[in-house]
Amino acid sequence: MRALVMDGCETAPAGTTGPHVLLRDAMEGRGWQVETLHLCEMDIAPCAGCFGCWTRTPGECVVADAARDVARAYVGSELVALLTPVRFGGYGYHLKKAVDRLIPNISPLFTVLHGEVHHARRYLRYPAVLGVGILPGPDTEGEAIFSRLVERNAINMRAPRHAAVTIQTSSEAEESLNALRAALVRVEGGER
Amino acid sequence: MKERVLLLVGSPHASGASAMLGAQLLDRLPTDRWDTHTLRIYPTLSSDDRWRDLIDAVHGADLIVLSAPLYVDALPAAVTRAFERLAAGPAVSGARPGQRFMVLMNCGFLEARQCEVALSICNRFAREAGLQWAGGLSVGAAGRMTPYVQEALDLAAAALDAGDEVPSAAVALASKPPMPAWLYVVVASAFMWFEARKHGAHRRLGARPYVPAMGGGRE
Repeated sequence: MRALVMDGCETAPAGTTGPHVLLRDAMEGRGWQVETLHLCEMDIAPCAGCFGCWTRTPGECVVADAARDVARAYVGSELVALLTPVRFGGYGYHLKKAVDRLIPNISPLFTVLHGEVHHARRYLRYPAVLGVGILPGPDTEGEAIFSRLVERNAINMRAPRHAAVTIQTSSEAEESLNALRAALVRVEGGER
Repeated sequence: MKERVLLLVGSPHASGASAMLGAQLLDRLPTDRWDTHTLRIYPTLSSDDRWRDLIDAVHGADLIVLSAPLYVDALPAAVTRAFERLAAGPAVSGARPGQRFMVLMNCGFLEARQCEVALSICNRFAREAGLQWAGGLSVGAAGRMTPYVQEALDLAAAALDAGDEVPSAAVALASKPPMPAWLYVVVASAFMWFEARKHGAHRRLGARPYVPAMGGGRE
């Protein structure tokens, strides 16, 4: 079972602690083979909104930077974890930059899904999505916006299952780990 | 003394739907009471000088209008970065009481309601940055300027000019879909097909270049 962590934290990981380590431990503990991409270390430009990935080189961005590797790894996984500091309820810059560049993975053509217009699928299979938001402390509104964003992404990226969880930097590691494990159970569709 | 309105365009395109919708709103503010100024956010990411210009413009504005496209259910990454920098930097401590922030979102889907999360993020940013939330409008169908949208902009501009929040009537008008969903699917898909044909890519629209990454073509 291949899983991808898109680590959108602001700084490169240092040492053996931190949210990405907790997340990896939780995922590996449930049998996932985890690849982590530290997005802040990768050369990824913001999406230029040119639609070239749809109308010039369908399925691949026309900009040859590391976003291509992220998009390839995304569809090659069965589970993708979106790890990010929660900014105003949404994703931080590094994760958002990479997520914006995932649109080659869906079709430029449109369809109706859940009563709304969305892009059609390009691939037959897509990974489940787990959103992991990092908050400095309790923030009910921020958590609600974050959950809703993950849910909307799951619809547009055609994720078969999704879940969102927030962990607080002020929490004990064990508490965060338990929250991550519970979210993994949800996104896996239940205990295995 | 005139009030100052700053339009921040959050699209990579200088003359796309976001710039057009924002300009249409500013055009509706009475020129005898408003000075208008427009800046694009994207170029500020790669230039310290341009970022300082943006900070100065934000600091000097009575009303800030962000006009941006929806990118994957939220604001484009460049706008996210600008928000992060504004909320963390001196622009926050420099925010004057009564500085207002209004948002115009547009999306390539038919339903304007798909911008709902982006508006929530903007609202939250406004509060964290010490700006007064003046409301938001969402326009679907790729920012198509329908009579409903024009009327919504009329109402929004009148409210902003009066110091009020964007009224719910304007929100409802702006979000009226200009056509049924099935027709939008046909029209928007045909647009993409013709765009691809210009580049000789129309026969490859359904290409799956990353299937090998999926473990030997498990599709």
